[in-house]
Amino acid sequence: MAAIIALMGGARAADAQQSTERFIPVGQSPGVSGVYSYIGEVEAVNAENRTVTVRGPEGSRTIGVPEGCSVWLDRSAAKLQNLDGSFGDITVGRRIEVMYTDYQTKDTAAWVKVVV
Amino acid sequence: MTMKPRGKIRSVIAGVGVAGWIVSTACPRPEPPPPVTDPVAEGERIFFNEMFNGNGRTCGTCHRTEDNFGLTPAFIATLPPDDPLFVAETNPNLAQNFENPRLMREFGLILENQDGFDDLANNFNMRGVPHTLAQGTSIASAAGPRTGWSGDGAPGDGSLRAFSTGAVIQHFPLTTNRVAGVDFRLPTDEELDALEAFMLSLGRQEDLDLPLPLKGVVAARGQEIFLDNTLGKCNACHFNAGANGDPNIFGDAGNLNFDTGVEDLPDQPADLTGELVPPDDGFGIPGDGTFNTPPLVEAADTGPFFHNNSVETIEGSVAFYNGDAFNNSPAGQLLVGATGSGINLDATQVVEVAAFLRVINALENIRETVDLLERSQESGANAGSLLARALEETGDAVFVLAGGGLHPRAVAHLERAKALIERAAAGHDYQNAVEQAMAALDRAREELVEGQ
Repeated sequence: MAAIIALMGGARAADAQQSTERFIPVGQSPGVSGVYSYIGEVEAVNAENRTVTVRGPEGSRTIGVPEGCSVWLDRSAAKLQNLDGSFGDITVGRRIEVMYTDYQTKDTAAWVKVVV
Repeated sequence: MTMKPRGKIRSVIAGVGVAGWIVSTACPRPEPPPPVTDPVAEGERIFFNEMFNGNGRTCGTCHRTEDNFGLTPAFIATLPPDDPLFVAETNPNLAQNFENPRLMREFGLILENQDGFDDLANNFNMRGVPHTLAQGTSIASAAGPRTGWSGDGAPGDGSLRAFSTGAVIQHFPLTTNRVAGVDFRLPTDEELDALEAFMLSLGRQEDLDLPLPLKGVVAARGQEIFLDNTLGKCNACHFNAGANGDPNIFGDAGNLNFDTGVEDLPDQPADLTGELVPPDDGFGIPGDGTFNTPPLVEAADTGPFFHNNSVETIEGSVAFYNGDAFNNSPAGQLLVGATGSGINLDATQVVEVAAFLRVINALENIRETVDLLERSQESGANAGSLLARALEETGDAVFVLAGGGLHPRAVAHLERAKALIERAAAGHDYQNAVEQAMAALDRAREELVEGQ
């Protein structure tokens, strides 16, 4: 029976549900917003390196947005449905929330919400 | 079977809630809402009454008190046509791609968009309503909380607290646009705290410590098979008939996800209708085919079984592990690799394992009924609802034992307890009726297990 442990390949990382996350406006993700995410204004975008620099309450942070990372367009303030977006929708001046994949390093996005 | 006192848990939760209301007095601010002194009671109120400005549903629309905080086709059949469960039949904005009324009414299946909302007509899953009992013992894992059927049911931080937000978005909207502030409102932090406290208060607060000294030979043999890692092999993943992996095998992994091949079962009831039932890929996007392990103590009275309600009876759900769907699945193959064989029980052994599950379910029903009766004696105004739940629990104990032809003398004591609880609920000699009901419940328990 102990062999099962090895066959399982160890524990996986926790995974929250992304499908409903899209509909939650910036700053309101339960247990995440302001804790495991950074909220602010897009200060710079580097398309080549796929990074975004966010100016927020703790200064500027540059965070990587890997391929496949979900980018959602938050249109709830306009009473419109939130949509799937892309890295190209992250533009300077927009309000943004980035959830980190790792709260310690704070250098990679698990998902991104952009107010449009 | 010793259980953690419910009051202690409530006190801890209440303390956390009050601490959250510390506010600065340096500058004038709007008056905050009063602190929630009993989050469990507040959570119960929200669970059953709060519609979050949506389509009329509450959490209790699908997680029914009268149905073990789940939902079965038999119960659905008792509901009036205007029950908010049926919003897809009554609200034109939700007529398409929100529910499948036929599969809901015939099989208790609810539509979920686990893999996204971009192709509502084709990309969805049909899942049963899991009960919300014993979650304090069943959702923690080394990889984080495992909520919902596939362990990834909650947005945000993936916690039970955040689960309610996802449920509102999925099940409560006025339209399928799902715009926050238009089609629903999101729960506040205080509401999420209270809902979590209420859900964690439901049912069992501790796992069993097997083996139990069972009196019935059939259930006792079932327990032996359950615990035998060369025969039933059940205890490896359902340690002490709970939802966690055996720590001797899995360490501190807690609740685990497995692909047990349920999706590969032939002739699944929902598929037989010809309705579109897309394959359910379980955990993640795209899914890896795994689902999390549910607790078994509460199983016998909370069927149908598995994430897609594909098996109606507890005997059928035990027999599932004999079949090709399980033994050829990734989980079944892990078992073959670890033990040298799959699971292959004969019909008598299947019934014995099921009898064991029926008896431990009845013992839990009795424990819960006694707890509810004791609380009814303390609660005054809420006594009616507590007695109603006690009546349901006692009825469930009768159902699971009589349904397996088990312990007729215990069933007789339970029927007596039911009559006494009904008498108390009707206001006839309340105190005496409750005390006699508890005595009858004690006698029923003595029929099932030694010295408990």
